[in-house]
Amino acid sequence: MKRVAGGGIVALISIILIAGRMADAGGSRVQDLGPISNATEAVAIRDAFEGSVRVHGEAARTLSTDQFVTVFINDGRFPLTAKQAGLVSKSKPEASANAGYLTYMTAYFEQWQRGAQALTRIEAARARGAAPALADTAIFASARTDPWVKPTFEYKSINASPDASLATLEAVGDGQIYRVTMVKSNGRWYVAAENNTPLT
Amino acid sequence: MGRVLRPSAFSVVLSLVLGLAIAGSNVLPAAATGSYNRSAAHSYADTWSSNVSVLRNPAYNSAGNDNDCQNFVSQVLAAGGYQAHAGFSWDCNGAWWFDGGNYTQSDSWMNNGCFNTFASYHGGDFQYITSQPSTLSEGDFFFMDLDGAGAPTHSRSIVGMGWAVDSGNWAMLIDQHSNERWHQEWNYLLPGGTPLWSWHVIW
Repeated sequence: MKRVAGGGIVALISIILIAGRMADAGGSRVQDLGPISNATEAVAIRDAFEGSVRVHGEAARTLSTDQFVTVFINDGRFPLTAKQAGLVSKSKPEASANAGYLTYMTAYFEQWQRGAQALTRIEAARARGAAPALADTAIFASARTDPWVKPTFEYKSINASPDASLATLEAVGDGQIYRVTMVKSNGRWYVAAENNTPLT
Repeated sequence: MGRVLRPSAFSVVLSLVLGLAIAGSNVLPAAATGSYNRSAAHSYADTWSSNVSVLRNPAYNSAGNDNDCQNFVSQVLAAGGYQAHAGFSWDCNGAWWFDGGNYTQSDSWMNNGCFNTFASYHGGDFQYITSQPSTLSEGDFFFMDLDGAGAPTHSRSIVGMGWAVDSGNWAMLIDQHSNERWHQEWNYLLPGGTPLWSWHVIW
């Protein structure tokens, strides 16, 4: 939540307008944010973002979601994209109401885990000369086995709210244009939304 | 241009007749009887891919500039001699074909997820590989999920070891459509967190 810094009515109105715009636009509106001027905060934002990329990449090799709570967060101001919401409703329907990015990432990897289990069943069926189950052929998957390589990012922009509680960044690297919304909670930055464009 | 491809003689009538049988049987195919020509597959992939321009073989339909990846992989497989599987066009488990007479094709010919399912259902023709795609061979292929929806949305054709255009490294190379790539490293611009589905042709 935004902190009201002063008692002036103009400042109060501004904050209300900013909060209203963010809520209305579901986090995609960033024009109320400006280029970050606090170098220390900028480093913290970049580190948190790159940490989330590392956790994501490592999870692709282990299928473990244990570290997700350290880098992703649910924030009701930033709803999921249609595809992300669709995956949650399919993979984790009980959590689809008001699902945020942490829920989406968890649901994505839980589906991936189920895919790995399906692959095991497919291989077992094949070993005994039977047809694999249709449901398994539709979802099977396996963990990545290539080593994760730390990507290099070219940062296009890092913008932050005046109170440094909300930030957006755009960076190119890891085969994507990352467009990330980050929020600060208890002094720590988390990824609250991503809407990336693959360059593959 | 205008290269003639072997599976194009497939007829709609044959497709429907055989489709009824295959769709109804719902079993693994008989043991492979063909012999996949990896060199021919590789040659086709190299001929119809580019880093600088959009190449589309007019003998086939095109899925456009943005969605032609699986269409390209299917063409490469066909060039290697992998034979069509008759069936209803929507039958991802059983059907994979292109009808050159009518310019129609099965869903699996164009759709990544559908062909991934087809491959999983034809264990006598394709072997799922859990090791990284750099262990594949020319003429093989792999899928990835690029839109975060949890299913394959993009595919690449493996063309074997060579010098990668962009990095200059000696590496396992790929060709692909959409985006257009020729002789790039297998993991070129590949996000580190996306799932992969890798297939070795054993047909």
